[in-house]
Amino acid sequence: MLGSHPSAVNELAAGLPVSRPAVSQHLRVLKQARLVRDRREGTRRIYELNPEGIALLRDHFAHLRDKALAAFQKAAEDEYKRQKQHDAANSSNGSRKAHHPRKRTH
Amino acid sequence: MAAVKRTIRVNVPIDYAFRVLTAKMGAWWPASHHIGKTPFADVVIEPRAGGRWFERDSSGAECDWGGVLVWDPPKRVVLSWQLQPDWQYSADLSRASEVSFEFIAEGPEATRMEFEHRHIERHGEGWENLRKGVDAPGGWTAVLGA
Repeated sequence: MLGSHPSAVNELAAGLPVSRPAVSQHLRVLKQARLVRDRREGTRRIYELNPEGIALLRDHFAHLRDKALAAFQKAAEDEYKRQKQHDAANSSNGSRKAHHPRKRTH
Repeated sequence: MAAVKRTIRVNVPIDYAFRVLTAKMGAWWPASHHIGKTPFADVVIEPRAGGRWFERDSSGAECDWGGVLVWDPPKRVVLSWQLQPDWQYSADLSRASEVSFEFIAEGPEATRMEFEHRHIERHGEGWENLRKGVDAPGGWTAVLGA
C-alpha cells in the first residue's frame, strides 16, 4: 500500500483488516528496519517507503559478515596459539604435572 | 542470483577451524549483533543436518536464527539464515538465505575457508508489495548483487 503513495496511519488502517495500533506497531518495526521513513505533516505523521532501505539492508549484511569473518579468523588463530603454547609448556615441564588441566575455553 | 563470496585464510589445522567456527560461535560472533532482548550468552549450532542455529541469553531464553542444511565436518557446513529484514525469524525456508562455509586444508596449519552468503534475494520476496513504486534503480537482485 505504501508503495503507491505516502500515507498516514489511519489511511493505511482503513484499507486493512487490522486495528490502527497494530498498523502503527508494524510501521515502527519497518521504520526500525529502515524500510520505511516518516515525516510530520501538521498533526499527522506520514509514512513512505525508504528507498535507501534495501541498500541499508545490504550494507548491514555486508558489515556483519565482514566483522564476523574477521572475528572468526582471529578467534581461531588466537586459540590455536594458546593451545600450542600450553602444549609446549607442558612438554618442557617434562614429567612435572601441569599447573592446571587444559582449559576448555568457552 | 544475489550472492556474496569471501575467502579467508586461517593459520590453524582444518579440523580446528571447523570446530572453532561451529562449536564456539558464541565466542567470536560480534556480540553487538543479537536479536533477543538481551545480549546472547552463546550462539549454538546443533551438530547435525536438520539441527537448529540459535542464540541463547543468560536466562536460557533462545532465539532462532536458522538451521543446519549441510553438516560435513571438517569440510563443509551450510546454514539457513531465517531472519527477515525486520529481524523476525521465519520458519519458511523459501524466505531463507544460505550461509555456506567450506574448508580446504592448504597445509598442516593452514586452512582456506570459502564463505558464501547466497539466495539473499529470497528475503525480498515478502517485500514485493513494499518495494513496488520505489523509485530505486534496479531491484533486490541488482542492488544486492552489486
